[in-house]
Amino acid sequence: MLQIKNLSASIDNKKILKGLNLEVKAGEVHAIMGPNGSGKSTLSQLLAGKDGYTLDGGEVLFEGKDLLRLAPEERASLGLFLAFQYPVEIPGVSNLYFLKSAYNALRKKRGEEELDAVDFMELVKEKSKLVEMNETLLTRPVNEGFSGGEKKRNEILQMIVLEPKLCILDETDSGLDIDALKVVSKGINAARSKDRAIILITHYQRLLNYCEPDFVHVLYNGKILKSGGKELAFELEKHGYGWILES
Amino acid sequence: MISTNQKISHYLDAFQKVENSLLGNEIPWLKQFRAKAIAEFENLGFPSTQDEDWRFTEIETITNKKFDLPAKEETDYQKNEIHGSLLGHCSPDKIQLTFINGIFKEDFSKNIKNLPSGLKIKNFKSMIKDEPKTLEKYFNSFERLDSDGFSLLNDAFFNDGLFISLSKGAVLKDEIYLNFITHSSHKDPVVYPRLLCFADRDSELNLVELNLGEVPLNYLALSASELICAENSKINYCKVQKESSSGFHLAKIRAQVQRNSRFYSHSIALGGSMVRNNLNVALAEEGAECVLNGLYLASGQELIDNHTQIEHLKPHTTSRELYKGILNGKSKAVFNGSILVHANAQKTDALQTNKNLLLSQDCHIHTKPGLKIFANDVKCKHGATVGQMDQDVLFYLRSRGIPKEEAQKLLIVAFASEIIDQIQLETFQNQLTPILFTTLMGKN
Repeated sequence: MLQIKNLSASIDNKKILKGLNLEVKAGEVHAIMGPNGSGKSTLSQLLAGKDGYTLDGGEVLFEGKDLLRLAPEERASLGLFLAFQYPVEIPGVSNLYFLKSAYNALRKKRGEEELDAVDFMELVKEKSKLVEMNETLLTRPVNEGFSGGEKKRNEILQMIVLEPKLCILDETDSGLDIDALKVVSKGINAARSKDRAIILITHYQRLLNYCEPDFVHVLYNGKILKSGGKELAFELEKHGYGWILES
Repeated sequence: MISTNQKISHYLDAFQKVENSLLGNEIPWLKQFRAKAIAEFENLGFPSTQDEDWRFTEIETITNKKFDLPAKEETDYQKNEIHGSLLGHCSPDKIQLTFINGIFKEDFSKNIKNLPSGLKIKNFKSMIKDEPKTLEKYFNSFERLDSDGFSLLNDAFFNDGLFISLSKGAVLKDEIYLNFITHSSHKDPVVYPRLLCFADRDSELNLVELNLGEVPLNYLALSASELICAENSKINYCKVQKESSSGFHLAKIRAQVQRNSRFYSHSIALGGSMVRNNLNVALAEEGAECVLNGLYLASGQELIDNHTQIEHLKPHTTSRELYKGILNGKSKAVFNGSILVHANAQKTDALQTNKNLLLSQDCHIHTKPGLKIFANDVKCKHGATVGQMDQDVLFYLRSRGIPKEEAQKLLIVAFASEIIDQIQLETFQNQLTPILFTTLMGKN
């Protein structure tokens, strides 16, 4: 589904990614771990299409298409979804309206009929139960005045409503208490399917206790240093990132 | 190039010509009122960029032209053509009054017979005929110390107008629609629409006014509105301007807010070659309150200028002001808000905010929120912001599949919604939102 080949990118002339390789197939769950500054967020933002990065080399294929040439909305309509590390607040736009606009924009792009307000409301109510989200958060402006945990749940809600093919979760577990982490994990696990791939970008092994990955990669200094199964995460937790550098 | 004297004498000459045929010419107080106005105009002339209040508002484009009163009453307009653009046309059960070139048109008005009890609506012509004393009384309750060259011209030349009064305790939930249309086959016409409104004790009134230009050529609309909120009453005055891109609209709006009464103003300026609103509110007695909200959309070469002044004259008076602007192209906007707290107006509570969204590199906003406080126990705050569209928010929306243009539109409408949502007149809001959309789409 996703092939990242020898990807190098910089921001303000500072090299962040230095020849990154990764292949993700449908049905797989990958965890990318790494210390601060290793390039985790750059990778996720670059894949989603954020401006401001210079591509120094390499390529990214998403379902065979040259992903980096596409506008963010085109990537979304192909089925790519990024759960933001820091979701933005949008005053004046209700959460429900935003979600419906996104949902219908994607349907329109696929040539499907748009869903009316009543049917959409039903769909969202059903899905928001899964992430235990208070219904009042739907009528409030997007993320405005939401707690950290509510913002992350809102990201997961968007994910399970929009049903993307590839979900990239950028530190969705950071700053969550254990109860919120469980709820978010439940949402992620519900999204697992044989047609969908998930990339969990995280600092902490804790999330992986609830969402078991098929593969774990260690990102360090702009490159994947080591890849392995879920046991790699436990090793990291035990020995720290220094252990990878030494071995 | 026309000299300053020529610019002024053009209007003085015009006045001499029409003086004896103007409305109420036989009534001494009105004749005097006009004579005084034209004399003051002769003395004062037009403002210039040398005047602090007109620093950023270049009016040469107006004064270099010779605008004339339409030679005859327009009759060749298409009734249907105008009807479609009137505000309130989708609410057939509501009261609608239409003025063309400042003159009342009964055949364009609706539901004006059998008015709700307590409501009086008459044009100036009938007032002069039936009850000149009443008109005189309310006319003379304004001192008009804030007059400028343009407002004085309205004082001198107005030839009709609208008088609305609501009697004690009458509460009118349904809004009344006022349509002021400029429509002339005459070259460079000048029109003088005028409104006088009185809400008596404990009454409540909602007015929605549309100012619309249908002239492909230049025109000048010099409008004057005067409103009085008597004790414990409320007036909600919404003014929408949708002048043509070659139209000039300069307005003087004065409101007197008496004990425990409330004046709400929603000013929606959607365009015009130049639009200038002077809104002056006097919180004249204890417990008086005003809410002044504004939204302006400027694009191309347009200039929209809002000058507001709130005078806190007595203790325990409250004002809330929020003006928001969206600018594109090479347009220019001016916001100048002045809050004046007099020495004995203790416990004044005033809040003033101006926010601007700039969509292009070449647009300009001159914003000057201002407080002058002569009392020592008050709560006053003011501020202004100028910003561009938040790129992080735009990226967030696009990353969810919303196309760029749609995402931009969504954010612009969200910016405007803070004003629209506060209007609290559902039918009008529903009619306004699509107008806002089309204006924005036409402008982007």
